[in-house]
Amino acid sequence: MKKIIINKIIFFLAAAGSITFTACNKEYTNPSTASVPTVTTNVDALMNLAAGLQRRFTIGRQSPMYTAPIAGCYSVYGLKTLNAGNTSEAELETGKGAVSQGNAIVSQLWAQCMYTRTEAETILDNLTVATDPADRVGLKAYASIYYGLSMGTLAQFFEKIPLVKGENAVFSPRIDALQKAITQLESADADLSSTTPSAKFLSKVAPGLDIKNTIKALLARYYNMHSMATGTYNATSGNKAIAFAQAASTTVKSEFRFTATTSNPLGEQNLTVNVYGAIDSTLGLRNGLAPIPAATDPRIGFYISRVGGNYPMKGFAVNLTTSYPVYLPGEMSLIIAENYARQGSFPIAKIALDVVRTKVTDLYFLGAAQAAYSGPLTTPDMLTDIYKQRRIELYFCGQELEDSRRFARPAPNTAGEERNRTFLPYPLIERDNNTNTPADPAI
Amino acid sequence: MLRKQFKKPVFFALLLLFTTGLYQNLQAQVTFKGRVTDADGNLLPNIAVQLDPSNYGSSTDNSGNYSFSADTRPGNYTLVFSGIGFKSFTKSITISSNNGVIETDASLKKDINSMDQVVVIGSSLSQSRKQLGNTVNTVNSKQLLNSGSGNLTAALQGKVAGAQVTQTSGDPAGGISIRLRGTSTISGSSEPLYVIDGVIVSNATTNVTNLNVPAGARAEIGTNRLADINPNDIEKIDVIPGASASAIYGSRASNGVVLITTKKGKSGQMKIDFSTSVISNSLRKKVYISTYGKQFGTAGLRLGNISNASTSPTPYTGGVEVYTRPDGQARTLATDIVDVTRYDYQDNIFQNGLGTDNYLSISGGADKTKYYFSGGFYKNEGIIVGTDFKRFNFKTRIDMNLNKYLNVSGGIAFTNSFANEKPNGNVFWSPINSINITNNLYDLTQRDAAGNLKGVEPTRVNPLSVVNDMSLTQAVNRTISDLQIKLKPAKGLSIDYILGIDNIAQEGRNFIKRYPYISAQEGLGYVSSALVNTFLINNDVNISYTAKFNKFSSLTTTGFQHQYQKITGLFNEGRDLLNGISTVNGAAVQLPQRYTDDRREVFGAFVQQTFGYNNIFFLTAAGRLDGSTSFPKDTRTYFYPKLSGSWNISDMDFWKEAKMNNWFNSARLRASWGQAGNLTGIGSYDRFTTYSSNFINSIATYNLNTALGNPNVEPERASEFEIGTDLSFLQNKLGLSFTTYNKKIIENSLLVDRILAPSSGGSSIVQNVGNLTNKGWELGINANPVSNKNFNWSLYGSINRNKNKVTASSQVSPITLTNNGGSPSVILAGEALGAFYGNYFKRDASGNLSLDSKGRPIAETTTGTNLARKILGDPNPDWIISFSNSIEYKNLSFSFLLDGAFGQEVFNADRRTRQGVGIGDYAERELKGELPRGYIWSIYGTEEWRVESGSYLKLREISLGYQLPAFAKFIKTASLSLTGRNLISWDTYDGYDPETNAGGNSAVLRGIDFGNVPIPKTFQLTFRASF
Repeated sequence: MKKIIINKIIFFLAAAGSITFTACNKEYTNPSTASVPTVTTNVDALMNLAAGLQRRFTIGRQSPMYTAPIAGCYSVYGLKTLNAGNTSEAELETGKGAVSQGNAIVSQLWAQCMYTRTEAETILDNLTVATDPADRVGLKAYASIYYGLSMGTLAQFFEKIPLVKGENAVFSPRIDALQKAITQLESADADLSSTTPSAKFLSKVAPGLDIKNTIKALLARYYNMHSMATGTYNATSGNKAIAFAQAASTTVKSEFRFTATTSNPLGEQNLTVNVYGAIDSTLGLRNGLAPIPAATDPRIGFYISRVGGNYPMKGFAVNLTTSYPVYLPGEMSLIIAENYARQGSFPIAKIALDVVRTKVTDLYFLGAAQAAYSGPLTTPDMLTDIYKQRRIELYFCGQELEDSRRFARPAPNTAGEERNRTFLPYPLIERDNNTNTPADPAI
Repeated sequence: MLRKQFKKPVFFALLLLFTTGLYQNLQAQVTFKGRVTDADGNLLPNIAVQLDPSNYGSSTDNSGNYSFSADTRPGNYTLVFSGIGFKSFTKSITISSNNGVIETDASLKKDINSMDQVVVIGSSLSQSRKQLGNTVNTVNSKQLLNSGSGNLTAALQGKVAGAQVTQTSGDPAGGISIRLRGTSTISGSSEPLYVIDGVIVSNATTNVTNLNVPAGARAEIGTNRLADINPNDIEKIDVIPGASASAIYGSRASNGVVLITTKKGKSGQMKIDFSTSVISNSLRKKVYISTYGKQFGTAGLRLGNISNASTSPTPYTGGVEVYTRPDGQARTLATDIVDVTRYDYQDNIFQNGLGTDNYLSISGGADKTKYYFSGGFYKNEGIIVGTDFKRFNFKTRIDMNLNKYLNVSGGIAFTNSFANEKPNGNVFWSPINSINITNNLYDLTQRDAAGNLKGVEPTRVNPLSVVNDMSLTQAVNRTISDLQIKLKPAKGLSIDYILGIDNIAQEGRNFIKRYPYISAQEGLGYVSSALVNTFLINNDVNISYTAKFNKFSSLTTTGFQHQYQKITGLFNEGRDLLNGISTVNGAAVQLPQRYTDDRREVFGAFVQQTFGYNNIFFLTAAGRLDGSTSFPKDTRTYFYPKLSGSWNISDMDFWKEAKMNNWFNSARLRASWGQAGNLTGIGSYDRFTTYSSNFINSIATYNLNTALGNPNVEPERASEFEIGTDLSFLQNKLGLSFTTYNKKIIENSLLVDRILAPSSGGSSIVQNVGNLTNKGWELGINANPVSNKNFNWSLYGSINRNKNKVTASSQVSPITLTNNGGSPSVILAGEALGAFYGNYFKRDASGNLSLDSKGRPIAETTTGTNLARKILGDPNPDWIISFSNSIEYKNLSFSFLLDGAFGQEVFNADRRTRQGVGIGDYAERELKGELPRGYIWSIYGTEEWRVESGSYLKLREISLGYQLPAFAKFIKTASLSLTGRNLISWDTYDGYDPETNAGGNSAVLRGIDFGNVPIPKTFQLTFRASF
């Protein structure tokens, strides 16, 4: 009897034990998300991640689509905060020391560009998964665009930038970030000259962005920034900027498109939430640069309207579904004009400048309808007008701070100051968690 | 999983199979009876009488008599008499086949430290306290009876030494948080593990009604689900504070374990207990709201104390004070004053809430079967207009001795609860915040021609809209069921199996009507619906074997546990509700639906060995292996050892010979060391880096979840050492218990959601980054100065000192814990968890505030306009004290309980809000010119101004009872009692109540006062009767 009992007990214990220890190796995974290997080892998933780059970069108030134009345009006194409760915007409006290290817009601008870059790098690091060259070129070109946009956007606002992600990442001068963006974009540009992205790839990313022309336009933009990044003009980079600006089509649209559900964040905060508006019809242009009266330049009416004492946005931020161009034809012409002007080739510079000044409309219905340039053909004079044209033609594009610096406009706290910062402070979230974070720029 | 569920029935089949085979027919039918008295001859009710070894037993009735029958084999047995507050008494008896009745009387001695009390230490395991090397605190049903609260956890306030029980919200279903010996984790919950009759139950705080409240990632707002338990059903609660005691529950015991035993039927006549009560709740204290009829600038100027003199709506042309704060923020403040009319909106949102609590139980049992059925209905209105909590409870518990070897018991407890809530305090459209954030210049009750409420200050919400037109409801159906099989196949051997299931279905709804006036926050209307299903199942097998050799005793226990939990949730939200629409389906803007699926398993096995010598020495060693599927395969399983000892000095011969019995009656030393894991410290899937899918312009997308996974994350491991003593004096009239402990997270295993620099490619990662300690001591004093037939006086006091500190962190800079109240709560090495780290004021050499030329405080800066930060306070109390006094004279009884926490700070966000809005006392003083213009603006950015002492001492309970004389034959006893709860708080706090937390039950967001509903004062009148 006793033996039977013992046998039964042993059997019982064994049964109980088996329940316990089958659990030891159980691996529950979140059925609502995809694991890293699922994404990085599958070409379709990499294409979905490519499509996600645009979501990361353009959707939501935290996206660079919102933070870059806001930070850029506030920095040159181009915007006004309509509800003072929006402290981040209010701080940027005051500028200078008021921009706190914890400013949400500055922090998000920094963080979301970093995350965009990380996602782009994931695609670039796993290109071998794509066996079809046309798929691979599509992935590479698309990821390169966002790699370039994230690096380039950071270089517009920050003095130093970590080039490689990692714990306590080391900061490098912004010119190195521009160089990294340029190298990646040029590599993609070279591939595109021989191979066209597959139809399959194009069907997997949001339509609107013209890959080939965007790469050329971004190369023009970043070479242009690169040419003056040390403070002394680098003609080699300048010539590259001219070449790429000429190569970017002025008749093909390349734009971020939006819908009611994935909406234009600039439009949403302008129209629905009523956070900000233009400072006034000068667009923040100072020292006699603003068109007077404003109506003399139809671009003012293109970009802003007037309701009582406020100047709500129109243009590419008018509502939730307005598309936002990645580059404007006018930007390409002005890059050409700027570099020829810096090189002293005034007649060619004037031709390119007049393309913008005399344009009545373009594929975005934007036109200055001004007389041709009639000022003195000197570098300073022409650069002043090119700066003015950039500020009006490219109003609210995010490049305002970079432009103000590159054109050596009056710095903060100097006579006739035109901007309230020269570089943004590094966000606290970086400083608190990265021991290599450099000191903040003085202003 | 399918395979596993299939296995469970196989167990029972197996169990029944081999136990029925053991049945023997050599039985004797014996009746045991007798009476039990104390040393003075008073008859003792509720003394358990147990025939050992067997499953038979009973307890004494109100006149001290017991009687039960047993079918048992002839032989030598022991009758064990035990009861709360008395030393157990044993009597050896011999049963022969011709015994008909065995009559045994017993006289029990007082046991003021409850050394002989049997305490539950595991799902089905219990030991007498004197054998244990660690502290186990017990709260019995009587202590829960007149607490004035329908919430079980609230009723524990002040009754468990070393426990900080905080009511975080005054909502009728409000949150209650318990910290045993301080906060012992950062990640995950810091609440203890709750076990009811062997079933691991959920005390989760799941937000289903306030989906639109961004309280902060670490906040846990809302009702914690222990609110579903009816305190009337509870027999006793054993609280194990920490890791040193946790071999049985090792895996999840690092925050301590609360073991709840519900009432069971006792053999004897059927007993019916009935109680009914009426409850009244009201606001204990109003905060100061200025009704001084002045305002800066113009009548339409918003935030007049701190905002620029404005040009709109009416241009201001008066004098200004231009002021640039040290942080570079500048203001042009209006100095002219206009007349306005001010109101106190507190009158509009608070009410006197009524409630009722009704309970009926029927219990009893024959020799083989005992039963307990109960039902309860509880309804309590909150002090905020439109809030209440209703609860229906039904409970069944059956206990059967199938034969000499086998006992089967099972219970089902069903709860249906329903709460009418209002928006959580963390948003400006909550009742309290709507009055804090709205300038009080508007007559709220004004309505337009169509009968609609009018708007108040632009962008703010009329507080009456909040309480009248926002409907938030939470409905819960919950079943806690258990099946327990106890087997005694041989002498000294027992095998227990417990199957426990806790199943909760929660439905939360939120409906905010479109405001009839223009206003920003949720003004277009908002609706949400959330369904959360929680399923917890645990299987426990415990085998224990006791043996005695001469003076040595041995208890060997081994066991397996397996727990599985599955929580699924479906969350829907919509905005922009057109007229007539009140569901998500109808909303013009529908937010993306969310579905969550959370599963994990926790498993473990242990062996524990206790050796005893002559009831003098006890030594216990245990080892436990535990794992959880939340952690990576390679790091999930750990070994947790334990060692403890107990030395009952007063049971030694020399003591007995020393004749100290007149004044020094007993002494015991104990020490315990053990380790435990926090296996639920991270989310079920936190170890994985993942991608989320979404869409852009109808194209599917993947994006990286920037909260990165950590494939090397390990369970948090806690180690605790405690040493203590239990002494009794003056013929057991005075008892003293002292314990000192050191509880720490070891081996750098503290889990933190570490914030990452964005340049690392993510926003956060869960990581083992540091260590944490809770050091302290507990002193409990029990006194029973007078105890006789007519008069009984007892006193209890406890002091707990605890120091919480993060001792190491791989992250040197503070980890900020973002929250909606703006509290600068951080985790920083060298400081207490959740300490406040923010800007402070310049002070002179003697520590007084430095003032600028106008008399305003100056925010300290580092370089330029960068604000200097330092630790401003600590939300964890240094001292927790309680004192209770209870007097019974003939039919009258009177008791009170004082409960206090000292040394903690509270971040009082609301206080500053009121000043900025212009309705606070400082705003009034600035208007009157008693403070310089710009004073409020000068303190506005400096967190120091919002950190203040949160120390309090409360009259937690006060109760007067009367035992009614016999007035009807069928009524055995009847009584009336009047109880007050939270009637007085002695504190210096400039707000409703320092006992509060906008972070709810969060482990780290503590001591934040932001729009929280204050805890009401409560009166409860109760009638109880037994039939």
